[in-house]
Amino acid sequence: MVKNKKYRLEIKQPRLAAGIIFFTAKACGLPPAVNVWGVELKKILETLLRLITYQPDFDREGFILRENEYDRQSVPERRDGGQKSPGGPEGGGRNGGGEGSGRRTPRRAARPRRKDEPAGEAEPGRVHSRLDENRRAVERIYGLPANKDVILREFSLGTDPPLRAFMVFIDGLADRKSQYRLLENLMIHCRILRPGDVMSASRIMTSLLPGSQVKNLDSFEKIADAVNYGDTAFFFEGSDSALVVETKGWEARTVDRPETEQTITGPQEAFVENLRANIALIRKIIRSSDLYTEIIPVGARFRSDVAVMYIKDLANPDLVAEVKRRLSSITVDFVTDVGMLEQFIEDSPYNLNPQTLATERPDRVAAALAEGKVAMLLSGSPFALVVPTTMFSQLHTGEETYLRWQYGSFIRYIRTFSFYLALLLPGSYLAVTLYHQEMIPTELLLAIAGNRERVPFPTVVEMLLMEFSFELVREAGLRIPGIIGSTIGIVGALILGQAAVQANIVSPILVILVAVTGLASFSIPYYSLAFAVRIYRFFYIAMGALLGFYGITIGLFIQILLTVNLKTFGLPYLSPAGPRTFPGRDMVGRLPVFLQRRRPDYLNALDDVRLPGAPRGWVEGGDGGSEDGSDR
Amino acid sequence: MIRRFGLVCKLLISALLVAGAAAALTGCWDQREVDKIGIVLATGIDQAPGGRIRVIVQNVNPAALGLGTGGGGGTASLAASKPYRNRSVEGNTMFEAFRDLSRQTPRQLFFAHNQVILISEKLARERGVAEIMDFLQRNPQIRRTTWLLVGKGDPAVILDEPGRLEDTPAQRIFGFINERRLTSQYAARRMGDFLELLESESTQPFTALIERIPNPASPEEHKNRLAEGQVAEPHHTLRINGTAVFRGDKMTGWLDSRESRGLLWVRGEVEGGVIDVPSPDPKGGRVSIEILGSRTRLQPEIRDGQIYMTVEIKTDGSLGEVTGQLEVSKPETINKLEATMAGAIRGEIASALAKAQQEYGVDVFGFGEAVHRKYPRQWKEIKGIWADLFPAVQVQARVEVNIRRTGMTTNPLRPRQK
Repeated sequence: MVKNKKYRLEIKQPRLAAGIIFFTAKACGLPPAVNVWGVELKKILETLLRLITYQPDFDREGFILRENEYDRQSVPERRDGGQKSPGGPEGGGRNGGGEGSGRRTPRRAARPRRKDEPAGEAEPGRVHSRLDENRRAVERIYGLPANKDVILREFSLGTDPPLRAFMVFIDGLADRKSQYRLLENLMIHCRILRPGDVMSASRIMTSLLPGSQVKNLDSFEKIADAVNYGDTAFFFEGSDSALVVETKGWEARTVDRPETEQTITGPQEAFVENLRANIALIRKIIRSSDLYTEIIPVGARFRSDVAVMYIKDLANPDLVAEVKRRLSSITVDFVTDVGMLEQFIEDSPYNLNPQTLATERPDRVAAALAEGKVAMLLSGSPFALVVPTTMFSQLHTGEETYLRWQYGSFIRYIRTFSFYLALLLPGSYLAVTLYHQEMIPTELLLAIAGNRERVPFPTVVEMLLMEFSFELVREAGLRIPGIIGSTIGIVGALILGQAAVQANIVSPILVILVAVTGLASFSIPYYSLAFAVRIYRFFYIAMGALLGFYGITIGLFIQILLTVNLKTFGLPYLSPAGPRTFPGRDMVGRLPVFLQRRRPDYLNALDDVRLPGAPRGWVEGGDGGSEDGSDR
Repeated sequence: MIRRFGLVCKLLISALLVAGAAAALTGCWDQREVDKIGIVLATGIDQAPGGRIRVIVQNVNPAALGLGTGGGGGTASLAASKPYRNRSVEGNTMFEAFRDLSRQTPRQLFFAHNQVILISEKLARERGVAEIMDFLQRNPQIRRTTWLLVGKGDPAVILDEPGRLEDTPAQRIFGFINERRLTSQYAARRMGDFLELLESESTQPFTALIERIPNPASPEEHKNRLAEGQVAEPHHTLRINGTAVFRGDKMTGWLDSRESRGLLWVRGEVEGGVIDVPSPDPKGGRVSIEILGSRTRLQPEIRDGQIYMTVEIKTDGSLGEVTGQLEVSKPETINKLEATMAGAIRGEIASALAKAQQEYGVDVFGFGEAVHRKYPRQWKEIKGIWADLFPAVQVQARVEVNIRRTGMTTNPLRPRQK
């Protein structure tokens, strides 16, 4: 119906056009021959329009991706045998998505549910005591035998009398070796049991299955959840529950060096895609029973586990509760990376600055946890999300803490300087050279003017050209296949540096400028923050080119307003500088570790004191530095 | 959420529109590309017939400065590679004349980097500088830190005397003045200081004087050796020669190098230079001592209706050169040298005082200000007749010299063999 209306609309236009021509011809008093010609024109126009607009041709295409039930009514039916759905869409509940062909549900929410449609879960999905029933249920859930990587293996226990059983697992997710051992036990070693024992699932669990994690479940939904994540489910004749044994064992990357947060000193481990391994990496550093790991499932259709980690007697309970509240309120189809998760839980999605800290270094997460922050790890993501975070911590790396304090402070000052450089250098250059020439030293002005003499473009165009080229090199360098990766350096260096200057497209001083800006933006350790700076930079280029330093001042004013008003999980983004709180001697400059006696004040950790007693007890006075020993 | 996003979008778009409109309405009115401005490095001001003013601007040609050779190459002609261009125009007022220059220059003149303002001696003596100072003071582009000089002869000639080391005469003159502490033989003023002196109740303005002289380094027989491939030295060269002193806004006279240093001693502005004294050795010879800075205090006193001025000067020196024989290693010799040097300094001051008090009758030393500061009540009575009182001020100079170093050696070289 809807479609028909649309078609009519499309055809209306040529008719209208032709009609107008027809009537104008008539009104102008042209001879009837012209009228006839006008009718011809109308046909020609209609044909033309048919040629340039989309006309569905079912016979040629042979397949229509229908939107919904209404579609089916409006277009001619041409079903063939390939689309038969064995169980129908109503079976299997929310785990039946794998069978898929007949179901078109993504738009279901947008359309009012019809009366005759099945309303969600048809049956409670309990494990039946009869094995055949269970088998049928499993086959329905997984769409067996069409679904080829779900394996249903039937066997019987070697007891006397033999007990029929079957196991379900997903090929590739489950570990073969442990399955062999399980089967070995069930089929062979169970002969040690006395005949006539009641073979209930719980009995088998306690005495026969050597798996370290075995659960006794009676809900198909929970069983399927576990099986989908690599566990193996065992069903036994006569038992109205199934045993789910932990057999996770899929191909995974091993723990490797950090790729995006490289340091020279400090631990060289990075997270991998395996949640358990990642948690272990953190636990390995913080060996404490106070380190809590809570798993919160996220994802409405495809479940992902988010591990919320915090130290019980450090992290503020309100903060932990807020993190859990936000996580559990998410409704999303599925989440593959913490980057997606971040967008669901951050405070201000429309602000440019990142409000969480994603890191791939376990030591960094551990340090954050020890400060009283909360970390989130997602199954399948090699990054951890640390909240709350401040801009200062986004400008830090773990390295400064590992280095002696003088070196660490030096690096941080350089980084802070380069942050401003990356943000403001191109804009300031434009402002100076376009509006405030009197600010440049005479010799430099003459050099700039001499260089610009042959360049045909205005400075703004020149600047945008170079910045765009640089961003291009950056993006292309990231996407280019590794094998031809060395090309990008040559192209970038030659085109951006040498050739553009020789061709008098840009002036050499601008090449230096853009190169310095690029280097400066690479020195910002947090990728997301560097992104924000890159985008803000173009904003400042525009402001500098339009209004000079006046514009840059306006821009800074706006940016500072936006940034100061930002909060992440109740914590002002610019603390401890934004609202001035006790800085903890670890902001831009970093004082010696043994002087950092207290945790960051703004986190309101349960235990404020980081270094009780004398941090350098062997020195007389105990602290090796400050006389009073207090942290003031 | 979606609704809020739409709202944010709407707000953002309207804000952008407003900002864009605001930016477009102002039209970037003072935006100028660096290569589209004519950078002025020096300005000359001269008198023109009929009560008119003639201005000369030195426009720099950045592409020819050898900085912009980005590989574009090409055989630029000698004329195109001249790093500067002088342009001259006449007008009833400075402003009119400068604006009239735009008919000659393809680029808008930009004065913020003006290094030197050169006033011709003729203009300074006959018309006075007051009427030209108004424009220089009023124009936002012209800085008060620009050096103001008086030029002997036509400014166009002085501003077209290129050097070898600096690209433009303006930079050359600027370079001279930056080295002023090596001699301390002229008292150059920045425009701002000059303006202050002009508006002072008692102190008269003064500034350095520049002239063009025949180049002694260009020997007569080398003048026509260009054909042999030798680039001859320029026939003329520039030199800063003493200080021009003004009465009111009109130049009234000139102090030579020695007198200029006398002026600087009294004003406490000697920062260096060489003072040459006869050797204390009875056999003769001379000693040159480097001045290492000075401090001056003016102490006026009104006694019996007479104004006395005590000039206390403390200075340090370093032995620079000794001719003849002198036992430099003996402390007595140094003491003697110090006394001689103090005498020489007193002599310089006396010569400056003689010129200023007796010949010109202009207080360039700031005596009036010193009196004003110490006797504010009496000053009200005498400020009207200060010009008459000044020549009668009794000046006593007390000089304290301290020779700190004698250089890399002590006693001078003494050839042992006859």
